[in-house]
Amino acid sequence: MLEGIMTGVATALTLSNLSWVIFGCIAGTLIGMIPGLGPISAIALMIPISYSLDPAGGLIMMAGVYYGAVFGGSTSAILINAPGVASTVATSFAGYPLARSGKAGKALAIAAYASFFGGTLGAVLLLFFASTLALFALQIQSPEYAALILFAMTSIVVFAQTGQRIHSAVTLLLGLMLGTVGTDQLGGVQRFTFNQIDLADGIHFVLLVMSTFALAEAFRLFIVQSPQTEQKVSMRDLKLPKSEVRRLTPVAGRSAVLGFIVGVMPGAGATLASFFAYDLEKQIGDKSLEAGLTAPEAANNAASTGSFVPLLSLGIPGSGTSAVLLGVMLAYGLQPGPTLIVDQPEVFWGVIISMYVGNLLLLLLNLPLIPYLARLINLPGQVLLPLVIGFSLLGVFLTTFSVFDLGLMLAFALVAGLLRAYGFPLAPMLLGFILSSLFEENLRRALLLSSGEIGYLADRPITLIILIICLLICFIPLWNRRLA
Amino acid sequence: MLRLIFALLVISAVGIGEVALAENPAQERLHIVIPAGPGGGLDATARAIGRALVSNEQVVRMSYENRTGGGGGKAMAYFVESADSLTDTLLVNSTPLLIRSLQGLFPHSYKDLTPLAGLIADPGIIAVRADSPFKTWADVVSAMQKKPGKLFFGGGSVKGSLDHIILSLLVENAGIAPRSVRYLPYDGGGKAMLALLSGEVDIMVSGLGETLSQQKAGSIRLLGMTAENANPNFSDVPTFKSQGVDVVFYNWRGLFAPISTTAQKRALWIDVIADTMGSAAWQQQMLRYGWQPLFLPGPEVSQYLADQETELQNVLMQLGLVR
Repeated sequence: MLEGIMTGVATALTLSNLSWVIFGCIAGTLIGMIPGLGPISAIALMIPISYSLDPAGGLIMMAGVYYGAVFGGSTSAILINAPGVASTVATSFAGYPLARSGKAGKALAIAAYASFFGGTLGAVLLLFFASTLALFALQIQSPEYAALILFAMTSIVVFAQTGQRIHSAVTLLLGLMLGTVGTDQLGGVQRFTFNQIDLADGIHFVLLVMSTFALAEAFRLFIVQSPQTEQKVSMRDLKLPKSEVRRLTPVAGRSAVLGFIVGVMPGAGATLASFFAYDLEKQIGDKSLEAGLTAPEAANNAASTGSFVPLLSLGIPGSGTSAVLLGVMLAYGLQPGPTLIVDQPEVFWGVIISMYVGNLLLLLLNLPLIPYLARLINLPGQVLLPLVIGFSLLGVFLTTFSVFDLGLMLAFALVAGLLRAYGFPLAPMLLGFILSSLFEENLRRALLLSSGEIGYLADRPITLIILIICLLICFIPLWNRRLA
Repeated sequence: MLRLIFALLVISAVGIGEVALAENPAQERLHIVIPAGPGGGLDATARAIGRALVSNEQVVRMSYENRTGGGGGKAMAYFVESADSLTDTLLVNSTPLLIRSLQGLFPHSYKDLTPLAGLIADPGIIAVRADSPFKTWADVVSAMQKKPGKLFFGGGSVKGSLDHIILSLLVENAGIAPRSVRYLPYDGGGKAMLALLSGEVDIMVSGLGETLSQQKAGSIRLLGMTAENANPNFSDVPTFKSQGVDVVFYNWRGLFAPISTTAQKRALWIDVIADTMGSAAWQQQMLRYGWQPLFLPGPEVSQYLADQETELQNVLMQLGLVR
């Protein structure tokens, strides 16, 4: 293994590969900052360029693009409440309030450090546990997925603020319903599409998140006219006080480990990981906004790295992003899988080492940029809000190229605005929407496999345990009330 | 910064032109519309033939456009409705196109396009885990006959689409009603493969190209492929035909021109594609992806499509998915 690591270091640290990873980081960050363009689009956009490089160089550049896009996405989630990809939705929960409260520079710095921490720890775990964890990935089948998703949905309702539980449940169900629009993933039947070809693939995630988060927030700011506090952002914000570092490091550590494990499970990925980490901190960990931002950022980066486990060890893409990366590897004539490490050691180790290098370079490149990015928030409302609205619409249009979708967006933004005005939180709706098809697909498969019997749970201890935990956490609110 | 973003977007939307300095190229430029997102099989096919056309000096400048949505329906609609204004633009498409228009998912069919040539063909396969008791397809059939409804089949596409159809053709040939077979759809071949490896399903139906690597790694066994002849490159994968099961079915991918294309222009494109498919560059691409060639020029490809449509119509009726 040591020899392998050395091969990887030698491959990753050549001058040309280093410059490609820097190029990748910059391009990825810029693309990722546009709401709606996430890591998948960023990698896809770079495919033509990667063809002109040798396999190791191309993949190393892609690693840079990938981490860059993840970081860029967090930037828009924090600054303008526009999480462009599902995995950064949880980032906006604590990140946006933190930025609005006059700590934009600090919020971005925390996100950068937490991402770096999560990504690097993830790469270490990948290095040592890839083959062991691949076996774990094989234990997780449809019933376990269904149970895990049920757990995610239960916890977002149970852990909602007191007095918000019913509201959360309502919007969660609304999200689940919106997720059923489109082609049924199992039967191939069209549902709630009204014969509109624009709805045949369902409502696009980016559309929903941009309209309910970014647009609705922009409209609210137009109406409310919140007093603008001039934020002074300087390089000093980038240095966190020692006490804070001491407080946030364990948060990042446990979130990264949790994120990595969730990320290994194909299909569950970074989104679930970030929600779990955020919930965990809010409930039993550190309740500050800073920790609330650290947790999902460390978790989603570790999970993104974790999703490489099935790709590198089994040859099966665990997430949308790794599916696109698999396409890139195939185009190079590489076959990821158990044989890759034997057949092409320099590529295998090059990819793993480039994850470290990519993470480190990204941090070094982005830290100096943060003061400039953070000043965005100082733009007066009459400049910033049209920009937010413009970028949200552009992001959606670039994803779907459909004018119909723009109209749909405005309608959603209106409804979302009303829901917010009446105190309905929108995050559960988004979670419900993201998990809807995943939940339905796995639940229906599980039921098909068991012929609708419930007795099969006895043979599936993991499912049973998750379901029992689901039931138990429902009592936590009662327990808390008794203590109080 | 905005300008840089814009530049990147332009590059991405058009694809980076791959430029060759040919002395007398047949075509100045070619634009391929891909009815699927980047990274998938159709995308890879389009970009591979594009690269081969350039290195074979038939086309100077290539560009690509991924138009997703409606299961390929949006790209079809675009290609059919704006046929008159499209110049030097081709559409890459595949078997699922026939299936979806048969099911009425979108109003257009291959008859609204000018078929140019089939490019590649991917036979269907039946795979089991390496430690499975099933050694041949006959083992599977006899197990199904003894205990109907006990075996689970996984595939990477929804009910009534490609993988399900291949499975239905095979079981129908064995005298079993396709509707009685328990088929579990997964979101993509990768997840279906995981379900096979994890033991959630007993048997997987997929395409040869998608499964060769797992076969090479020794984690699965391919019981057969729906190809006409055995392939010397994968000599350990028997055809179903050699096992006495007369099922031949390919997932083809091919190029189409707009319906308004003149006969002369069509002949030109067919020549260009024929020449490129004989080139070393294309052979190399085929080998990389584990694809098998299928060159069917103009009239032949039309006949092939008509035949496959009839076959598909029959299966879908058996499955009760079309009337």
